[in-house]
Amino acid sequence: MPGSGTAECFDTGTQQQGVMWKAHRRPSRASGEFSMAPARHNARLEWLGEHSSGLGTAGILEFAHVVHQSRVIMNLKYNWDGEQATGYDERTWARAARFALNHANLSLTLFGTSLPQPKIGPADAGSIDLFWAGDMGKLLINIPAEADEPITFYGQEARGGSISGVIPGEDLRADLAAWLVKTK
Amino acid sequence: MNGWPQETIPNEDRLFLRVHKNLLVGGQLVPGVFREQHGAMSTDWERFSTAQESRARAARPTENGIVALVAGGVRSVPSLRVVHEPDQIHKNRAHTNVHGLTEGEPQAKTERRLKLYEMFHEWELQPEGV
Repeated sequence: MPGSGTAECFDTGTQQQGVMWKAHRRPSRASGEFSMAPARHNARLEWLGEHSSGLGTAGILEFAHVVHQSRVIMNLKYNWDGEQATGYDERTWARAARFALNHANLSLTLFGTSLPQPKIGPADAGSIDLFWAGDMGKLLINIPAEADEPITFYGQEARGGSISGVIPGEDLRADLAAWLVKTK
Repeated sequence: MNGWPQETIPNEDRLFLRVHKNLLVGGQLVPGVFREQHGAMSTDWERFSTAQESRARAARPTENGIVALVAGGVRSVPSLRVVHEPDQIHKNRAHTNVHGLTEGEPQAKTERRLKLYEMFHEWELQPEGV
């Protein structure tokens, strides 16, 4: 968690449909609660301000931290392994970040709880994975490098059930959010 | 033309997959380590290579670890094929490709990678500093 004297905020802005993040700190409120109101509200993350108190707030902030930290993926440029590996584009990361955060917000809205924290990492051909692994199941969501290709997912429940499919654009999928809440 | 014959790899034999540490998340293995490079997922058959030798074939060996796959487990994932393809140019008789990871519907690749992860998510050799 951020230090007690300051609250960490995510300042977002859009640029060419991407999401620009800047983590900054400012004094916390007298109550000691985190202030999560973005300095600018021109991106898709207004919900950080809408949910500045109440059930699930801490979870949302921690979730946003995990997403923010995954920016390091963009440091992997072409040939990052010395074996001509594909690099990772900011637009792909931004799509992954929006998708993850929008679903965390959806979960908070629908179910009163944030999603469990994903592992966000590089995958093949410049794509990015969102991965959840819990005792009850695993869900893998892949954000392709090509913006016009659909997001794909596959989930496996410990008791044997599975889900699989494609998601055009960045459509919200309440069923996936529910699946994650159920299996966390 | 390769000088070494192409052989059939028994289901119980292991294949060494090199994993670069940049693919890890929080130092842990994730499904993203299963990826094609140049049209297939490249591995080394343990009959002709140790895990250490396999790691040494990486462009930057110390940045790579090794995950051991079992051939029969790989073959249990629909559409995946384990093919011994000795590499004469790089003098690697152990070279083995796993084909089929990206074939078919786009979500099939995601499913195959998670199924591989379910079976193979422990290190044979860890990268340095992980």
